[in-house]
Amino acid sequence: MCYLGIAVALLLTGWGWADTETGQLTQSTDEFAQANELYLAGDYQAAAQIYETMLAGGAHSAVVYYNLGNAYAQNGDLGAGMLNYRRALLLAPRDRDIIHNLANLESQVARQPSSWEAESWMRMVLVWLLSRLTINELAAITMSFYWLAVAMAIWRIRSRRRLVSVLLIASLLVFCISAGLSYAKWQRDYAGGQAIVLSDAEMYSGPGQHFEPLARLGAGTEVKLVQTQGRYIEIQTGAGGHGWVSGEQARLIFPFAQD
Amino acid sequence: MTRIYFVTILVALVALTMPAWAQVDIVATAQPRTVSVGEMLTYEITVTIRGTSALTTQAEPSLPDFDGFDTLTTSTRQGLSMGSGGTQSERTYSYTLRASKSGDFIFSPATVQVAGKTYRSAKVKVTVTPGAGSSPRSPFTPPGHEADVPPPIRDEGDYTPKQAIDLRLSAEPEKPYVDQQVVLTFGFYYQSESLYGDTRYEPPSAEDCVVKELPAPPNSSQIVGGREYLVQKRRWALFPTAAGELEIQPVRVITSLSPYGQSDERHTNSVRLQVRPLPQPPPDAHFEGAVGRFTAHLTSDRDAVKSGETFTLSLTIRGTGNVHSLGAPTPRVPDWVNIYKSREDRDVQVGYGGASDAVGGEARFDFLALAKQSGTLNIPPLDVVYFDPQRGRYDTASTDSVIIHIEPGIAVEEPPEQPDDQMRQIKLGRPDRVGSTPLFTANWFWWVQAIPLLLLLLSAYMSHRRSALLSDPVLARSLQAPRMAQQHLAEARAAIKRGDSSAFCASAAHGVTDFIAHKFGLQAADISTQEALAALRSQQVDDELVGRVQHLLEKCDRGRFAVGSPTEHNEMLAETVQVLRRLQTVRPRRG
Repeated sequence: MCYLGIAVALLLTGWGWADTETGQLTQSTDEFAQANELYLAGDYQAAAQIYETMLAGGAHSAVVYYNLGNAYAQNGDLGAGMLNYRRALLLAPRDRDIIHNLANLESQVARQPSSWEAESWMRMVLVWLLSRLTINELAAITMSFYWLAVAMAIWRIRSRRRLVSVLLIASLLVFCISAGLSYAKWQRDYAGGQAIVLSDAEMYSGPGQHFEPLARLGAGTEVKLVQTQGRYIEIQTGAGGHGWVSGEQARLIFPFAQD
Repeated sequence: MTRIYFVTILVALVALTMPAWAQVDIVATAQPRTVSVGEMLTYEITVTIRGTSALTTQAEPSLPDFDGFDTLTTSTRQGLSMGSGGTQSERTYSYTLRASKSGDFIFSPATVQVAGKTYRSAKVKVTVTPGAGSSPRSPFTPPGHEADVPPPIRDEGDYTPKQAIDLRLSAEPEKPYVDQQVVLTFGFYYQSESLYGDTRYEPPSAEDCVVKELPAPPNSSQIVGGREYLVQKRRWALFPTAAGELEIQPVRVITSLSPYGQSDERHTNSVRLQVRPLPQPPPDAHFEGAVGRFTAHLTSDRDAVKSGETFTLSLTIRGTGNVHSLGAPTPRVPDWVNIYKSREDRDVQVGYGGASDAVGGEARFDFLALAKQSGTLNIPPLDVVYFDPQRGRYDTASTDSVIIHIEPGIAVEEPPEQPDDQMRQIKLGRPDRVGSTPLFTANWFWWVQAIPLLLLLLSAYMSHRRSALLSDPVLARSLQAPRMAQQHLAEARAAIKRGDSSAFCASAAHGVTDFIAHKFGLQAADISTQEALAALRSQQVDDELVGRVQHLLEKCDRGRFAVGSPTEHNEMLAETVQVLRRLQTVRPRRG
């Protein structure tokens, strides 16, 4: 029982770490309130500037990203609106307002099909899970079941009871699944180089305007960054096309602090 | 057999009813709507058949009377598509007409008969002005391209080579507008005896422009000063993308000067273009960057839909110019229709319209539209404003209007998958405090994960040790020996405090003998002095230590019967501790 107690304590500790604030929310709420007032008064550009200042100060909050996305969208800047909604969604994937406004914007741009779109029921479940849990929630689940599996393994050393073996196998299984999900989430939303085209951009066959134009990408198009060469970046579109656009015309969704 | 008959009858019934499923659209258009006498226009009839009949029906339309026009060319093109929406065939009959007299002309509706039913297009009105008119063009020009072909570009044909091998790079025009096509011509002039083997070129490079290779003109010869020069030419189309001076880097040529492989590298001159910015577009004109000469066509994939259903409006811009980068205006629709830009296709062709230097093609922009209520949707003509660099002015290509009948649908409101347009408001509470940095990227996260592993290793080691002690009682007793000795020493110290000489000596002696018994695995714990000494000798303990043990045990035996001073007892205790420490270092011998 002692070991079970330790396992529960570790589980709770794991969850506790998940919600640990690692961002630096240093800006005052007055600044946030001021930006909100400007937004409600219709001065979306000024509101966006204050939200941007807050984010530059390290206040990476889903609410700030959401409000900034609204300010850009109201100002007609679909690409920047989409970028900030996507960032907000990384931090609060179950927020209905963010999901709604993002879908609203996506309907206004020529959305390319994503390579992550569901094809089979297993993939549907995977996509559903990945789009509803944050990376830190997944990390906490993974860590908790890792600690639980180790606790069960220690208990198993002392006791040969069947229940302990079953619990050990179950916790190892959940640990493996959650670790796989965490990796998939990381690859999809963080390390995959997902970027948003900020304004209508010409896609060329090489890194420069003197190459053959291949297509025109609309603001808000989601692309994948492949490599950078000088001022140009090589991208892959959701439809599988490859090309180059000016680096100023696309922005990575993560990391947040790049701009 | 019964089943085969049943299937045959079913197939026959389906085949008989196929024409009844057909949905036929016929659309007639004329482009441009206003021409001068002697100018040409394209009249097109597009017959679209949807449903199962699309595969089998060949419907020839009856033509209106083209009074006042000469028919120059006719052509037909056909497309067939099969998808989730069913089968659809589209056949377009195209007629190039030349206006022979002025006035307003109304082409009566074109008709087509499918499965016994007659379908009619709308009437088309064309205005012919008396103006001077342009000179008649070749009747062999492809229909639909007449207005697009720019005047031929002057060739650099009068250049005179000045040496046995001469290179020349020229551009025309030298002062283009932004996005206007420039033809870059590279000429390679050489006397035939000057060269051996192949010649390699590296195409010109320049920033801020889009380059497309044009077909190479055939090789030719030129007589200069009584010597024959062979002439090779290469051409590229350039589209400057920014105003200002544009320098085109020289073309690099590598030639063979001797049959022994001696090569020579030469460069042409560089070319500087003064790229002019586009003039200010007219007020209220929605200029989307088209530079060249274009025509525009607006079509709908359906002429009748139910409210809540989507349909596609397609704007096609054809002509010569910057098809690769031009944009499109959005069709004007009433508030009760939502319209979204959904797709964009560009087909850039070199040699468009028959002119080898012309780069053009067509850009097609699809708009997904959704009507939220029933009624007649009249989409007015869409004006595509383009800049004509030859004329140096803005022109407009207008489409026809499109009429779509919106019938009451099952769901007049938005379909559930369409998000409503109302944007949700900002959040006014305090910003949340969720960590934005993934835990995986923090070093401490990975260090913390080592703790359970260390605990697991420690637990495994302890378990192993316990198992080892359980399986080897001698070893277990040996490991217990110091603890046992410590207990006896504690009793001895307590006896000193009490002044109990006999108890002290008994405890000290037991401390030593029990230690020896446990350490060396003797059966009995309570052994005599002689047995202890014999055990030590059997373990080949050195004689000096055996002597010290013997001396100590004999002293303890004597002390049990004689009262000693506390000083003596303390000295004995110190000696006992030292002896035990020495014994602790002895490794027991097995067997």
